[in-house]
Formats: sequence, structure tokens, C-alpha cells
Amino acid sequence: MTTIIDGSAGVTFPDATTQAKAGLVAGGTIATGTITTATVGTLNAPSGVLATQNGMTGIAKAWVNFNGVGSTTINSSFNVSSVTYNGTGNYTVNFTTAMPISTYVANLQASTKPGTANNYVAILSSQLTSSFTFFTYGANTNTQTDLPIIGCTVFSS
Amino acid sequence: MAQVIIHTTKKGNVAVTVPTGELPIEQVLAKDCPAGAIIVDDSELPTDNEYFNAWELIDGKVVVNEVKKQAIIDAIQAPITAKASALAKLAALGLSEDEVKALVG
Repeated sequence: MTTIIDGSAGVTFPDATTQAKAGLVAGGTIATGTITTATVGTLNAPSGVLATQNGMTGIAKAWVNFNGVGSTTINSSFNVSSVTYNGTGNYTVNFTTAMPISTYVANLQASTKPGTANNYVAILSSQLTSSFTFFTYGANTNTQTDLPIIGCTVFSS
Repeated sequence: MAQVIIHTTKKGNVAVTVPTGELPIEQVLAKDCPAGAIIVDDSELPTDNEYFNAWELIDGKVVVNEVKKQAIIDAIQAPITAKASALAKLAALGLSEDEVKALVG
């Protein structure tokens, strides 16, 4: 029995047992194996096309950078459909694709400009799989304050 | 002009939802906003964001509630007035302006 490697037809195994020994099952799925270097044109998930990094572990699942003064201006984002300005220093970030769990990690940053020494605080108020809400506070006060530089990064399983 | 979505919050003020552009705004309206939220052009919103908490949505238009606006102004002014009063009392004791500043910063 021979395994045939053909430039046009690809790899043809003589039977399923031999194919399984090569770490492959029917349909071209690699059951177990190590790929040293891979160039991937399209990366698919079992449920369909893995269009974004939402299906991967260990990397950010969402982020957004926006100006939180007034009704907000969004500078850049990933997997965020919108930001809701609920009131002074009160924001909700809504995900395009929901997180699989509600106990994800949401890192927040807030300041007036890079390098400022004042202490600005961003505190998570609530988090759902579809969104999270947080408050921003001014320098050394307990007063909710709009801040012009706000960044959020989300990590999840 | 950009479009945004507005709705009235449980507190009675207005919330503004700004789409990132990842989804059509109609989809954001359905997914991220409560019933009753509406799409408007952001040019229709008041330009003075300082009194955002005094905004109210009435008949599809955002207006500034003057009573709430005055309450915001009073809240901002109160500590300033209190500090000015304290400084005036210290000055009345004969302290120079520099001495008062050295005391209270």
C-alpha cells in the first residue's frame, strides 16, 4: 500500500488507518501534530469561518479607544459595536460578538493626556457577556468626570 | 454628519450610543439599545456637553432641563464659594494674600 504525494491531487492515503497514523482524519482535519511554520490563507473554526480572533485563546477579544468627553468620539476599535455615554463619566462598551463568559477581564485606562501625573480612576460597574459599564473619576476626587483618553481591552476564554 | 442613537435612561436623562461602524446603525439600535431608542443626527444634539446630565428627550428632541442645569451649576459653584468665603474671613484677620495661600494652598 502506498501513500501518494501528488502536486495536483495532494496527498492520498491507501486507507483510513494509515491516514490516522499521519495525524489526519477524513476531511483534512489534523487530529494531533506540530506545525513548525504555517502560511494560512483562511483559518476556519469547526462551526464555520474564523473571521476574527474571537475564536482564539490568549489574545485580546475586544478593544476600543475613545474620547469620553461629551457624547464620545471613537478613535479605533475591535469587536465593539458601540459605546454608550450614559452620563458624566459613565460609559457602556457593547460587543459586536459577545464574550463566551461574563467573567472575562476588562482592562481600563483613563487620562486627560499621556504622561499626566494626576490620578484618574476607571472603575468597572457591571459586566455582561454582551457589554460592560464603567465609571471614570477625576484627579483625586470622588466625582465622576469625562476624560478625553479612554482605552479598554478585553481578554476572555 | 454622523448618526447616533439616543434614549432616556432610568434616571431620566439622555444616553447617547455611538456606533463604531463595525455594524450598521440599525443593527446597533436593535442589539445595544432599549426599546424607544431613536437614531438622530449628532448635529441635533446640544453642543454644550457640560450640562449633559440635564439633557432630556422630549418628543424626539433633546432639550436642556434648565432646573437640572442650574443644579449642576450650583454643585460646581458651591465649593468655590465656600473656599472664597473662608479666604475672605482669613483676610479679615489681617493675613496677607500670600499668608492665606501659605495656609490653605
